[in-house]
Amino acid sequence: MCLAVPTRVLTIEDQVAEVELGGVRRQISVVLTPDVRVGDYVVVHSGFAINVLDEHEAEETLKLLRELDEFTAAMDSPRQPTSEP
Amino acid sequence: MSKETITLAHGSGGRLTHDLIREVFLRHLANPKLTAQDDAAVWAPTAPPGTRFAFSTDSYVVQPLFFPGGDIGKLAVCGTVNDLAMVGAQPLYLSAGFILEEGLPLSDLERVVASMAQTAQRAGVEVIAGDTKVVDKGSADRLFINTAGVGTVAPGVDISGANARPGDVVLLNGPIGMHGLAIMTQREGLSFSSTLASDCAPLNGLVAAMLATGLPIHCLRDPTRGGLATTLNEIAAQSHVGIEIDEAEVPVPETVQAACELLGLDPLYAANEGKLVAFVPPEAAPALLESMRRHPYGREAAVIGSVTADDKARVVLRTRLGARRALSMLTGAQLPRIC
Amino acid sequence: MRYLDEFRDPGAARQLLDLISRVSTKPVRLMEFCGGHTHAIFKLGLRQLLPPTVKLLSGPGCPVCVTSCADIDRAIAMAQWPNVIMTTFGDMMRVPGSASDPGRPRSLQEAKALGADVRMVYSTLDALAIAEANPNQQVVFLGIGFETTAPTVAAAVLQARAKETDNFSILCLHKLTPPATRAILDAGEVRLQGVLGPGHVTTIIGSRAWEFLPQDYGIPCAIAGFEPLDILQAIHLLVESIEKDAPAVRNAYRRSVDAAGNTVAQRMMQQVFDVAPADWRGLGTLPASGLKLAPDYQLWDAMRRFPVQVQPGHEPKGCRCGEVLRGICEPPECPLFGRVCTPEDPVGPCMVSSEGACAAHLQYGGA
Repeated sequence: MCLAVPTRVLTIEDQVAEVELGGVRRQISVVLTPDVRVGDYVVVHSGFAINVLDEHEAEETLKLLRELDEFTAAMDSPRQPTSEP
Repeated sequence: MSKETITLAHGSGGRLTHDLIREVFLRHLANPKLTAQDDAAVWAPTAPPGTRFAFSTDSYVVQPLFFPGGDIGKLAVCGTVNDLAMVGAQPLYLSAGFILEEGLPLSDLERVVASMAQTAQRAGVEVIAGDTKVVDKGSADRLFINTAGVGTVAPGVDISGANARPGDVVLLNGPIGMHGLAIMTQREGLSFSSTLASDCAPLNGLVAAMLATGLPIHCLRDPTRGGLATTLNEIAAQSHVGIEIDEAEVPVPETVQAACELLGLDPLYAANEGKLVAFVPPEAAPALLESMRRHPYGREAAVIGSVTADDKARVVLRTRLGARRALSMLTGAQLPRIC
Repeated sequence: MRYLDEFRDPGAARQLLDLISRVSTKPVRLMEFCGGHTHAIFKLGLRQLLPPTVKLLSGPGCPVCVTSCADIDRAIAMAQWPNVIMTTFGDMMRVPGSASDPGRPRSLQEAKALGADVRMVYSTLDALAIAEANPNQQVVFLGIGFETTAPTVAAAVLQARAKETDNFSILCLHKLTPPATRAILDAGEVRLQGVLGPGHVTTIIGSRAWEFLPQDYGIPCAIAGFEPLDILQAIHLLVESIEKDAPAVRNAYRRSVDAAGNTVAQRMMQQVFDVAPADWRGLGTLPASGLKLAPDYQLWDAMRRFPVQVQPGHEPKGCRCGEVLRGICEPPECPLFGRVCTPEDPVGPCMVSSEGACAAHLQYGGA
């Protein structure tokens, strides 16, 4: 039930987006993420985008995973504020 | 024919039935035994002494009737051909029984029968007996097919689910999950940038190529409903052995993986209609793998695991992280009407 | 697959496991609240890869598992109401209710076999589409799920209102996760030193919602995503916090979770739902732990349209789902586990749900 996957937004029209994961496309609602733009990645649950994935944070996390020593120190630093609707 | 849809009259046994048989079934499936139109087909066995017969049957209720990579007709031929091939038989003849729902478009029936004929020809089998019934609207969902098949098993060939032995290598002829996901995605309205098609295919040619090496093959099985995991559990139980599979070695196409992520499914439990697992003694594995890779339906063949001694007949998966956990039979609800 | 594959890298996973082993010096008990985490942990075989000092317990975060018997009975009764199409997420189809009346079906699946129109959907919007396609029938959506799902249901209700789709209603059984976590800690039955927080619930409610754990209970909470590296990062942070005796809320799912959460989703939930007491299987009635439709949205409340009467629910004899959900019974300790209670023939919900602890143990354990 917590099943949610990251997908890339291909098109948006009338609060419905076509998203893509690994070559598979699906239509979902973006009413919960009104600021989403084409090219963003969204986390999809039960036919809805529940959040726009923060790619900067994703890349930061991955970078840190490659340098595990500095890992925990950076985990606790405050996040950059995201733009609010 | 003047009529566009199947009606109850087509099943009455009278003129319309005969017209239907002649203009649809005989036209596409023509062969002397079938066109003789006797109540039963008769032939003399020509096999050498020591040959055994193999016989199998399956019914097909797949929904939808037509899907990327195939249709119910192709499935009905391949499924039974493959069951015969899995005991090392050369398939010879099939029967085909049809239950048609009143209102089925005639064009759909023709498309299905034409597909069966084409598939039968590719597999080198003939449909030599058939039957058609028509039921009221609502009594069958469009079209159901049963096929039964007979084949011959050459002397010295002993392939069975009970023959797996500790030390055997497990081979798989290609990527899994394609049929099950092709069906599911049709139903759930997913689309693809590249087509996800069913892998439905007749495997008797592949098996013949493997047998032609003369090397021992202990067990063959096609992982249809319930997927690879369920099939491995069946063999483990039948042979009273354990099986260990390496997750990283099981090929899964990216689109299948992605569709599984979106639908909450596991490719190890998804149906396949053009795949087989082979259990072979370790010394025979390299050459058998080579023979598979030389065949069009075995290009991506891989070693996926091995057989262990285990009186509890457990199937274990070595995960990508290196942990070992149980790979159970499919429990609970299967996806309905997958094949 | 972008943002999935990278977080599954086996090399990085082994490094994180190493790190956890090095940092962990004393036994700790961590509860993964979310059924999705239980499932992932078992599927990956993580319990056996972690050092013996780290013990993971599953919690009540399985929406199917915590739906009370009486609520399931209500859903079954509603499905049998003439002219109703009952729509539900797949898992709920096979959950057994009380089945106290031999003539009554025991689950939605059985009700379907007996002729009720029960349909599986992946999204509330699918249910709404069914309502629009069948204007002469009543479509009920079985609304289970926590704060990840509730906003999607709220959005569907708002859409129904906007389109004036009046043959659509919700059997609202949504529940809230922080109150359940509090209840488990308040019950004092299970010693816990840390909580693995649900990544997608927290995507909606924000990591601030978990501050009560260090503040009121002195234990850390690490919010985790569902890929192997996410779970391992979170466990590492928990172990580290415990070793340093510095409880805090830590975010190990920064690509999806922030302090405030999805405020659009939260506002939609507040508009359509009010907080109310809820019956949790295994935990009893907890105040302010569930959602009901707000006064302006009563029209879409299935309980008002179909006032079904059910007997008070009762747990099947011998079923220990309640204790499993509270973290005080490991599934194999239940005498029914795997013998009388199996996924094909379940006694309780923990064996039915794809996120149930019992189902996870049975399917992935025993290697």
